[in-house]
Amino acid sequence: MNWITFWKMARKLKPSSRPAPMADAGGPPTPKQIQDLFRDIHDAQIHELLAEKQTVKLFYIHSLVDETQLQSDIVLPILHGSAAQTGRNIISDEIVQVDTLSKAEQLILEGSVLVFFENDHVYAVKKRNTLGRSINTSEQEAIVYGPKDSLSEQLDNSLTLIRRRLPVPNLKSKKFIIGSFSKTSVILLYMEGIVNPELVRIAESKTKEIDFDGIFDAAHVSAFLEDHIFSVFPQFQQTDRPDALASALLSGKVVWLVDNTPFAIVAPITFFDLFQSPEDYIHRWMVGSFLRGLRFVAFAIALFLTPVYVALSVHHYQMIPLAMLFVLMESRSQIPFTPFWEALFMLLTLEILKEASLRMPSKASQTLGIVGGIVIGEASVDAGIASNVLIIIIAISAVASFLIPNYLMTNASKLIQFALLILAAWLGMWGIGLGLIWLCIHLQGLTSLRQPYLAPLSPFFGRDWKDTVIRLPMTSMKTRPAHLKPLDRFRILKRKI
Amino acid sequence: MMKHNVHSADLFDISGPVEPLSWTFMVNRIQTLSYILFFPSTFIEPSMIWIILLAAACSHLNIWLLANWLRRMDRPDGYFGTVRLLGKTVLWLFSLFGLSLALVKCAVLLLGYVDIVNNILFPSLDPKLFVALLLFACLYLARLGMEKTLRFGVISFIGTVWVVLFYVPYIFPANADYYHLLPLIPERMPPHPWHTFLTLWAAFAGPEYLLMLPKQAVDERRIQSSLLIGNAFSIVEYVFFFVVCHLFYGSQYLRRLDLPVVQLVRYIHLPFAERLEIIIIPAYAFSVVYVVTFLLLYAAAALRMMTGASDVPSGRKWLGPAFVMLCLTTMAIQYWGWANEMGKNRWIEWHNWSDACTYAALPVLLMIAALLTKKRGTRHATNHSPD
Repeated sequence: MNWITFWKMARKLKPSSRPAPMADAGGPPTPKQIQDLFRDIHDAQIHELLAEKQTVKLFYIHSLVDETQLQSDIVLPILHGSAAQTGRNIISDEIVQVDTLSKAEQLILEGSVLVFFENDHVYAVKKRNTLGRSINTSEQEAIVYGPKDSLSEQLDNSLTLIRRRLPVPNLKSKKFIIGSFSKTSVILLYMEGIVNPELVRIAESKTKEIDFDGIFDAAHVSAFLEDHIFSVFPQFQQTDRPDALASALLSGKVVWLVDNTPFAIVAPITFFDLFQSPEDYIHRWMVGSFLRGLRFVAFAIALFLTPVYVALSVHHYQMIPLAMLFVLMESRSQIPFTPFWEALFMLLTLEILKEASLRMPSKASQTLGIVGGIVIGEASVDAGIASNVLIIIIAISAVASFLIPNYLMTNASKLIQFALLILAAWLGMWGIGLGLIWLCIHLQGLTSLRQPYLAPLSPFFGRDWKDTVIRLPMTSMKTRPAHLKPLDRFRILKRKI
Repeated sequence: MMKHNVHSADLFDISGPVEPLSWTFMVNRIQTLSYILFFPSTFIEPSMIWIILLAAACSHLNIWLLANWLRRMDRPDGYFGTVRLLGKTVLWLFSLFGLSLALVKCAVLLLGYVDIVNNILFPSLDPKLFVALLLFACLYLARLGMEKTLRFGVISFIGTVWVVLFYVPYIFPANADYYHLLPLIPERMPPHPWHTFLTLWAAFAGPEYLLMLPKQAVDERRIQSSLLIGNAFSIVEYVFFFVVCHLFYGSQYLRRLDLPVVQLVRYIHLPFAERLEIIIIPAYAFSVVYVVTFLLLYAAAALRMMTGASDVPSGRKWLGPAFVMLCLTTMAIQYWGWANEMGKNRWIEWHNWSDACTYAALPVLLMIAALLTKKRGTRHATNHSPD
């Protein structure tokens, strides 16, 4: 038994931190029980409405309910309806008869109004407050051409945007409530008849197994779904673009929508998916392929350029042609540090500046950019802390890292770059080679939703290469990615068998 | 059912047939490995190309026989299938023999490669450091199990095959002097022809280890072509490097060089880099790690068979002891055998002989296995536990 298994077993033995389940006395809840349950909640409200020959009580939590709809769709119909019609007059898409106290609690917290009639019938009428952002443009995955809408924090809105793109009954959705306190709604989406049922089974079981008090973000959900916690690589793709999600669903992937977060999770993904952008499919295929190839090259530059500089200048200066060596020597002649410390110092400075510019208000970050540019570009060279050559190398690798469309991958590459830097300083090019081997082995062992992360390279799926490093014309993409083992391989209806 | 599950319970669990390309690259990498770096110094006369082609043809025949065996539906599968075919004692002896061969082969491959790293890249550093780092890389890969290790062949191939591109300019004038390839028909017998043949035959050895792979790893329809293409790739590579070295150096100068392929790349001057052997040598670590891991897993399997624990799932339990044994073997050979040139050559010679013998014994082994299978019947050659 390894320590992870031991920890998991020990975790199971700990007392549960969930709120104690409601003791259902049997029969519909009474207003008194509900008031006791929601005591000390200042916006929990109970109203009595005097309808024709009977008193109707309403209970709801003010902050969770749309007050305008409450008045127009519940209060007015009850007040103006006849005794026999009182209940039927209520306007709502979702009216549920409530039998138990626990169900009443759940529905109230979801934004329902509890309506108590004198004949002991209790109904929950959903009037959820849909306060939130309107549909905006994606900031994280902005594209020049193509659809601009993006998901929002409202789960229903997000689902609508996807359903509009896939208006077929094959688009299935399963709802889960996770988080013992946050009660976060999570919807699992998949295309029946396309996705491999085994994937849906794994996704469902992993979602059901989530046991945590608060789930507030898609990243929280993915942290519980991932197969490997000791890896810097993202094993799920997060996107707020409904077109990208619809495309992923049609490929045979599954999607999780998480309430109160504008990002959805896509799985299974491969290493190569992290370099794809929706814009690849808007360009001509040659341009799209070139841009995609450029991103891989940029990723390699971001990872290796600085370590290679350190390896060459510390261990293998004989690799540098003489003319370049003179330039390098002149540039480094006044620097008191070894190339490793010089590079480490500059990389750390750059990361601090990048992080600070993300956290600061946008107006202040412009100032920071200027200060950073002067500090990095001039002052450090003048002060003899860094050489001109290194400044250029760091700048190129920093710009190259921005070409990676996936932000999580960009951040992962920073960590790998530091590890390679240490290996380069220690064992030169051989150290970098060894680091690359370790990286490849690590990637070889990774999985996303139990599917190989390095597919279609390893395991090798030749046909999937048409949309991996390059992007062939849409007319040639007649089959879905084979590594996902979709039930329906073909994207086209008219095909030769 | 979806294949490629992540959490394999056992090191040797195979979820489905391994892709043909993985087999092709596996055969190619195991056959070329680091031999490419130094082998042309053994083939110092142009007429020796016939020895290469003869060894290649024999190897092709061997692979063809092996592939035919792997395609057979009635071949024994798994531990129990093999026990029923050979008997426990014979299998135990086979395992002992295989374990010692695998360990020595791993150690010699590692030390041979580290020697090149040590001599050319870092003469001042202790070679033990490189050995240790490579060994841990092998362990890191081996823990993923046999299925993922086999699939790593694709990465290993991609990690090293680009090296060939650097040598392409050497087959064209003005670098190439085509007269160096003559005479192709020797006026006299080349020196030590058997030894030369043995060296290349040993270089082609390695695919015989596939004999023990479980049935479910093999796609019967495509295994033959995959293995044969892999062998053909190796032949092309050997001939290519032989020709390139002869065209550039000529046979007189070639006999003075230790690592002709490595030294050849030094003549390339790119606008931004020189001394490209500094890049090429680390690239070959991909092949070394891949092949040593493959053999390490075999060593773990042999240990498991020897202890009679093959009938129970044991996860990664046997990898640790096999790794420790590999470390000890490598340290022992490095300490006692690798201290001087004579010792080194003795071990390389021993390794060549053992490799050549196992590869040459493959047809005989297959014949015996086929006869036994026929004699005992198909129903005995399955993987059901004895009641």
